[in-house]
Amino acid sequence: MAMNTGAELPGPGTGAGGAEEPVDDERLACGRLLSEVWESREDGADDPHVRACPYCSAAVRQLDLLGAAVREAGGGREQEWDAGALTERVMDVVRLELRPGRPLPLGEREEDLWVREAMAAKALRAAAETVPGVRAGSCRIRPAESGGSPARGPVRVRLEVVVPLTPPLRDVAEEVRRRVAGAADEALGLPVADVDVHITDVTDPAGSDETERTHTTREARGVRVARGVQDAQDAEEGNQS
Amino acid sequence: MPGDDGLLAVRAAEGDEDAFEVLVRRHAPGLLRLAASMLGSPSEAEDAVQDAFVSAWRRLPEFRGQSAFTTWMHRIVANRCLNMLRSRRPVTDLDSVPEPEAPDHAVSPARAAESHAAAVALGRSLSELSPEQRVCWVLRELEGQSYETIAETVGISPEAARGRVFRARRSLTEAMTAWR
Amino acid sequence: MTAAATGRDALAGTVARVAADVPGVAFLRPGLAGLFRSSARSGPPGAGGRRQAAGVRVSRASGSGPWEVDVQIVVRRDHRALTVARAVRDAVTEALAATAPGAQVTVTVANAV
Repeated sequence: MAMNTGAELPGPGTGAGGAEEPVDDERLACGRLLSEVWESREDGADDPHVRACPYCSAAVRQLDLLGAAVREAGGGREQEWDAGALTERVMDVVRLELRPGRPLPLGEREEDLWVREAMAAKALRAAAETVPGVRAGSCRIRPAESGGSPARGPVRVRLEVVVPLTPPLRDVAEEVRRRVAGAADEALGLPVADVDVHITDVTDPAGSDETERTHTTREARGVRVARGVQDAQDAEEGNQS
Repeated sequence: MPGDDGLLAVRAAEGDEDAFEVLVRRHAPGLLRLAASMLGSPSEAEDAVQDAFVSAWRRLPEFRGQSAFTTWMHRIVANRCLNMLRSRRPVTDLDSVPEPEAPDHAVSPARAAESHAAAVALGRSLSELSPEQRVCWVLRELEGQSYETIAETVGISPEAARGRVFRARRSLTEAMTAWR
Repeated sequence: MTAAATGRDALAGTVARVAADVPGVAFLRPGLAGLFRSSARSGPPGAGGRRQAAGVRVSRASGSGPWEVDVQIVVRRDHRALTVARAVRDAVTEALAATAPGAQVTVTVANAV
C-alpha cells in the first residue's frame, strides 16, 4: 500500500484558547480545531487556509488516507451473502408465529366453516392485483353486521390500492371491486356484503410494472399523493375538462 | 421495486407472511453488509440480521410506517449490533482482539495483498473502538447516513453522533498511522 | 391415561387421518406442539399419533354429550376454501358416524400454500 507517510499529525497545538476545546478534540498548531478541519473537508468546502496551512493539510491528508483504506478494505465487503439461507431461517421462525387473524364465516349462515382473515386478505389482494398495474396494501375484512362473536353472515372488505394514473380511476376502482368480489366467492366461498376500494396512491403510467423495476428515476417521478376515491375522481374530472 | 416496501410492510403487519418474505429477501444483503461492518464477523452478522428480522415480524403490527421500512430495519439491526458489541466487551488488551474474519476470499488476487493488509489494519483498529463509536462510524462512513439519521437510528442527539464519528475517525487515523 | 382420554385421542387420530386425505388439503395446521414433535421425529406435521393430533381438537361438554371436533386446515392455493372445508366436514362426519354419532364438526381454513 503506497501511502504517503508524511501525513502524521503535528503534535497537539498550544495555540491560544487551547484550554477551550472539547476533551476529545485537538487544536492544531495553527489554531484550528481538528474537528472543524475534518468537517469542512467532509462538506467539500474549499478553504484557502487549509490548502496553505501545513498542519491543516496534514490533518486532511490523514482523513483521506483513512478513506482510501476504507475503500480498499471495502473490496472484501463485496462478499456474496447467502440471503436465501438466511431468509429460510427467518421464515421458519415466522411460520411458528403466524398472525392468522379473526375467523370469518365460510358458506351458509348455518354452517360451521371458517376462514382466517389473514389468509382471506391474501387471496383478495391477489385478485385486486390481477388488474394491470394495481398494487394492493391493507385489506381488512369485518363482519358487515354487528352481532355475536364470532358472527356469521356476510362481511365487509376494505381494501387499499395503488393504481396507475392512465385509465379513469373510477373504472380501475370498479374493476378491482369486481375482481375482489369474484375471488371472495370463487377462490374462498366467503359471502361479501361490501367491497370498499380506497385508492391511496397513484403511480406514473410511464413507470408501468416492468419499466419501474429497472428505471428508478421514473419511479421517483411517480405521483406520491394520498387520495380518497372521491378526491381522485374529482381530480380525474378536472383532467378531462 | 423498493417503492412498494410500504405496501409489503402493511401487508406483513396484517399477517401476510409471504409479503414479509419478499421484504426479508430484498433487504437481507444490505443489512448483512451493515452488520458485518459493525461486528467484523460474517457469522455474527447473520445472527444479528436473523434476530432483527424475527423481532421486526413481531413488532410489525406496531409499525405505522412513520419511517421507511428500510430505515426501521437499519435501526433494529444497528441496535442489535450495539448490544452484541457491548456484551462482547471489555476487550482487555491488544493481543486479545480477535483477528477480524478478513473477507479476503472475495477479492481478486491482484488486489488481495493490498486489500488484505488494509482490511486487517482497519478491522483491528475498528475492533478497538467503543461500540457506540463503531456503530456511528459505520453508519456515517459506509452507509453515508446524515448525522440526523444516525442520531435517530442510535437514539442520541445529532451533536453526540457527530462527536462519536469524530472520535472514531481520530482513533482510526491514529491507529492506521501507527500501523504504517 | 384414562379410558376417556384414550377414546378422545383415538378420535383425534381418525379425524387427522381423514382430513389430511381430503383433496385440496395441504396439511393440518400444526400447533406448536405438533411442530416440535414433527421436527423431533422428522415426520410430516399432523400425521397423527398417540397424543391429540396437530390441527385437531376433540372435546365433549359431558360424558354423554356429542363430541365437538375442531379441525384447522391449510389448503392448496388452487382449491376453493369453502369446497375443501365442506369436503373435510363431510369426510370427518362420515368417518365418525359409527364411533361418535352426531359429532359437531367445525372446520377452519387457517392458510393456503
